[in-house]
Amino acid sequence: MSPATRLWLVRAAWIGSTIATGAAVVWSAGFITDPEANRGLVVIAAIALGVVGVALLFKGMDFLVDRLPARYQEAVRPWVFVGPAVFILGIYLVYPAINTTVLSFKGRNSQEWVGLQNFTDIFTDHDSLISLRNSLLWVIIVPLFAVGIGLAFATLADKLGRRAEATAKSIIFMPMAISMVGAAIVWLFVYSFRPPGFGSQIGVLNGLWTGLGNNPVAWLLQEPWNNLYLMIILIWLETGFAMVILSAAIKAVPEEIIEAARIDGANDWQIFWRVTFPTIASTVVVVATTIVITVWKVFDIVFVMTGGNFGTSVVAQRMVTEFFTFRNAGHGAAFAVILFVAVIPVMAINVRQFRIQEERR
Amino acid sequence: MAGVVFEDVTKEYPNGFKAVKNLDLDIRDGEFLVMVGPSGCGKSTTLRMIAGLEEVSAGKIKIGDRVVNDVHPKDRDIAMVFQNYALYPHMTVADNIGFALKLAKRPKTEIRDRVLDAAKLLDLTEQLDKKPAQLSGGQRQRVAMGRAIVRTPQVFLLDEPLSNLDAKLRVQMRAEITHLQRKVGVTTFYVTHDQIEAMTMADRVAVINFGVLQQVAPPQELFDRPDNIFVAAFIGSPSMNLLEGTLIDEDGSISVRLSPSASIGASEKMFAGRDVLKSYVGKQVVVGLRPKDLKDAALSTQFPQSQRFRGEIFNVEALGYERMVYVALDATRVVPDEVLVADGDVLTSDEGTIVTARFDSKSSVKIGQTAEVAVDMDNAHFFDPSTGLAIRD
Repeated sequence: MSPATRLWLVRAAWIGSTIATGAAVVWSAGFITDPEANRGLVVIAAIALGVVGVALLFKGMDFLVDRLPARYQEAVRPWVFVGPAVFILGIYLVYPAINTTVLSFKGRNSQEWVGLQNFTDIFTDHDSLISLRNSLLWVIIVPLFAVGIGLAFATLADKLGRRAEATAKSIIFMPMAISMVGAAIVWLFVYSFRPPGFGSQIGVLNGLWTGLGNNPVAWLLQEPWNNLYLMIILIWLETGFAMVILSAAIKAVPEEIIEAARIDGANDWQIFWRVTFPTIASTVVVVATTIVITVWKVFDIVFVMTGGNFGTSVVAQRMVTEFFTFRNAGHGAAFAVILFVAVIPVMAINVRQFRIQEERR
Repeated sequence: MAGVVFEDVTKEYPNGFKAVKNLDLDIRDGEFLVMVGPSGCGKSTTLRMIAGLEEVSAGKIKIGDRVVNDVHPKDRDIAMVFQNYALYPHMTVADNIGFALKLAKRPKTEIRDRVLDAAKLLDLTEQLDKKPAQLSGGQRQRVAMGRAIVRTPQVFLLDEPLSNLDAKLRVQMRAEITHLQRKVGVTTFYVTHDQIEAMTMADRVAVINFGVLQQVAPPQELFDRPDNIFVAAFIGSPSMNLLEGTLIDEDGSISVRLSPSASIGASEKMFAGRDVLKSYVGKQVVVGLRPKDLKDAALSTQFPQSQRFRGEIFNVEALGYERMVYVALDATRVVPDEVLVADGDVLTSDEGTIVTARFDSKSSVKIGQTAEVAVDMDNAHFFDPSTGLAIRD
């Protein structure tokens, strides 16, 4: 075979396979949007389409970059890989954020401009103020307890034997694997209440409470304590997270430093507060801020447990209610903006601490 | 100040490993004692037992007159310098040095004065406000020293404090630490695997191996009169040539036969202080020859023919003030299993064992030549091959 023939064959193969792949992509795009198609096959086709599509996208763009003048190639190439992600984030994150901000200055149907009216409404309305107050309480109490308990567990677990430590840590970490809705449903049973005469108490708490000879209590109706009862669920979820990260940080504190402190005359309490804690302080900040962000966004727990009633509403849940229950896009967007603004400084601290930590390594 | 006494101390780990076995050791008041041995020999464990960081399994440790087996580290009145310095990363140099005083609730002004004194002594006054991460290795080392001396403890414990420094700084810090110790006069227990550190710094050196104390003696005595093969091989650089031999008596003249083709005649003084060696005539011995006692026969003409051997020169290292010469000798080298001397790699060639000799720098031997080597048998060492102990009265 002459080199020329071979070249033609290679080209033909390239063109052929490109057409075939293109046809397959077009066909499967039609197939997965067909409501009559077998669901299982649609899932498989969708996964294949996604994977092949992404591969083709990168391959194709890389191919195009290779055709550029040499001096531009290396400058453009990173964008082939970063570009799609930036583009998708732009569409699904930046654009909605901007649009939400715009909507927060418009009326309930997003028709007319209302200036700061939505914000004025929120900061003067009794129920809205309660949800703001609740969110602030959540943001203070949950991280405080989650980090505090997590740190205590991490420190104490460090003193256990290897086996016992692993077991204890797995148990404490396990709630992390549960979704917030799942956790909320678990805790619905903990707090469950039936008025006397409507069957036996199936709630753990009321079981214990009545077992001690008391009358059953509707825990989730006890304002303002019901807020605390809801917070306990998130503390239960986040303590494991805090513990695992802090435990890793504690283990990274060199043994020699602790021994040096012991010889310098420090007792266990002083070793913890003057040596271990300052050494892991930046990790504590990162963990705390990460939890703060989660707490600001908490919605599911409140939604499932009380629906935001009985004085338990929080900002994120309030936002959803305004949008979808009250159909007031202006108020909903304004809540979203408040949430957004509240999270930004925390995020900034978090990123900064993370960087400091990285530099130390 | 106080001395430290070990009375029959044993350290056994839960897995049954005995790190230190029946240790009897007396560190005198104000003495600088260096414990040296290969890694894993139990020297750090010994130090950590004085510090209270390891429990004593059996026996007694006394600091001064007080048995400290069950005393908490902070109540032992000791200060320790760690291999990696163990400085508190979040504290300034001043806070690092003053931490112990702060914990002891000393008045602020007193802490400041004492930290300043220590910093002056260690040339750290400019660094007091810096964090450890901003310091060089040598400065960190000095901060660690400062943290120890500021407390004016009964005993200093130093655990391989120089092993993280580069060679030049190590030599400098060696001198600084020795000087400092003589100045403050605190009883010091220093652990190292580096026999040069041990030899240059110590009042007395304790050689330990496999958890068993081998010998305690001032450096020169350790070098001149090693108690056993291990000490002989471990102390001295380059290390002693240890060879299998048999003492034979041919018509009244005694010599050491190393192999059918090589034997070296005994000298008059060889038996001085070891009459018992005569009883080994006809028996096997281990002969130890320091490199310094193997000389270029062309330059050292005072040695009789019987105390010479000829061998091919395997390698010559010119060090300026002397020449390290590696000579082939038809003999069998003795390597105690436990000797892990870094610079004592066993060299062999087809011509036999390679022995190390230190020739004068005037020597003109060349690689590949066959040269005549004179052996100063006055200084030869003899060991019993079955016990490994030195043969002397």
